[in-house]
Order: sequence, then structure tokens, then C-alpha cells
Amino acid sequence: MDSNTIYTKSDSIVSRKIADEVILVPIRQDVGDLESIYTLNEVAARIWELVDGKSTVKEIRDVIVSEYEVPPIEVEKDIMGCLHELESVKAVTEG
Amino acid sequence: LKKKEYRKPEIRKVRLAPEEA
Repeated sequence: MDSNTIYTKSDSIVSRKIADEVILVPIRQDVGDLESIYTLNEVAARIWELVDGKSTVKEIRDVIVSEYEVPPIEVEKDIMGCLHELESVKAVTEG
Repeated sequence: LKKKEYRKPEIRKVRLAPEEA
């Protein structure tokens, strides 16, 4: 993964926004763990929203930096960590 | 616009009973 990587949401996950948070619910057996749901805090939820199959990690970073008080270097590392975690539960895929 | 306070992105796993899931 680098800052030009693009991610796409999996269609095996459904999401709902509740206040500033998002819950992710796996709906297919090819997704990691059907007996769990995932809750995303406000920033993770914003990253999830910005994953659209077109935006690069760098573009997602720029949006987050424009909305939150955070240095670009710190946030890029956090975004990559968040996307890596989403990828590990098969909520997103590269490309 | 005033920027929002930043918190590290966090993903929490919540385990459910099979039927609840």
C-alpha cells in the first residue's frame, strides 16, 4: 500500500451511519466473521465514506486534513492503518 | 470553517450471538 493506492468497498458488507459513527455488518459468509459487527469512530467513519473506488489514499488524506486539526504526515499513517484493518476484515479491497 | 478535533481512527469489533448476527 502507498499513498496512490485506491480502495473499493466490498459488497459483502452493509453499513449504517448512526450519529458520527458507522457500523459495518458482514452479510456474506466469504467475509471474515459473520458473528461480529464493527463500529467505526468518527474519523474512521469519514475514511470509510471517502472510500469510493476512485480516491487515492493521498486524496483521502487531503480531505481529512482539511476537516480536522491534524498534521498530514500523522494522518496518512493513521489512514493506512485504518484501511489495512478494513482490508483485513474484507470490508475493502485494493483497486 | 473551524476544523474539528482529530481522534485516531478506531475500528472496534463487537461479537454477537449467531442469531443476533
